[in-house]
Amino acid sequence: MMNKKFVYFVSLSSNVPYVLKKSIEMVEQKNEVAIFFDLDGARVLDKRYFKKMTRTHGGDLSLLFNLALNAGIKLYGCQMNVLIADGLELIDGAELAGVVTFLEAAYQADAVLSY
Amino acid sequence: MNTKKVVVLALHDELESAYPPLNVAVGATSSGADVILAFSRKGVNILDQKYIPIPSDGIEYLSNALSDFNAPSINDLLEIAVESGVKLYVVDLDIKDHTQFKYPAEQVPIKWVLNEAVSADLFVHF
Repeated sequence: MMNKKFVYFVSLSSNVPYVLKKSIEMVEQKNEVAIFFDLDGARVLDKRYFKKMTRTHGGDLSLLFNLALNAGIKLYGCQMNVLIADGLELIDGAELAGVVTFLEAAYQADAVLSY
Repeated sequence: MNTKKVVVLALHDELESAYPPLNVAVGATSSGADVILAFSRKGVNILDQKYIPIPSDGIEYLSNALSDFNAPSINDLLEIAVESGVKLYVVDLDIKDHTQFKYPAEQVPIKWVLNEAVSADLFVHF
């Protein structure tokens, strides 16, 4: 099967475990995945909230992030995210990106999925 | 360079669901794309003059965070989108009789939106 490119857009942190699991499955099937985190979704990329998120979203969130990063999944936090007002501290492996980066990835994608 | 065509469909009206379609529409039109912004299901409420964006349960902090960050409001973004040339459409089956639109929006069937999506460089729904 031909490889496909998927872009996920996550605006709710509660959806992150599902999106990470699906993304890892996609990559295991030789597809490419990029995940954009915006608004509440970007909380999981903040070091200050990560431990709390791991508790409230299940103990495997840290493992899921490691698996995702090791699988080559790109993780982007919204550059203009509201958390920056508080000093967003990105977890290792994630990057900041704006809507232009999202659009560039989305134009190339076979599907853009929002959660 | 050929002009990109972008179709964005807004399906929900919660605060965190209203920002992404507007941000993407404004970003895409700013970069030169032709943008169709369609509203369906609860998304049509975003165009209602009485619309008040409320975040989903459990993320009430988001309203204050957006305010503290001086982020543009949903209304601001909608105005920017209209002024930037984003074309507004509503799926006619989802329109409530009492809806008073902030901006003119053409009523179309969902089939029309999906047909436009087929020929678009990007179709995304939130």
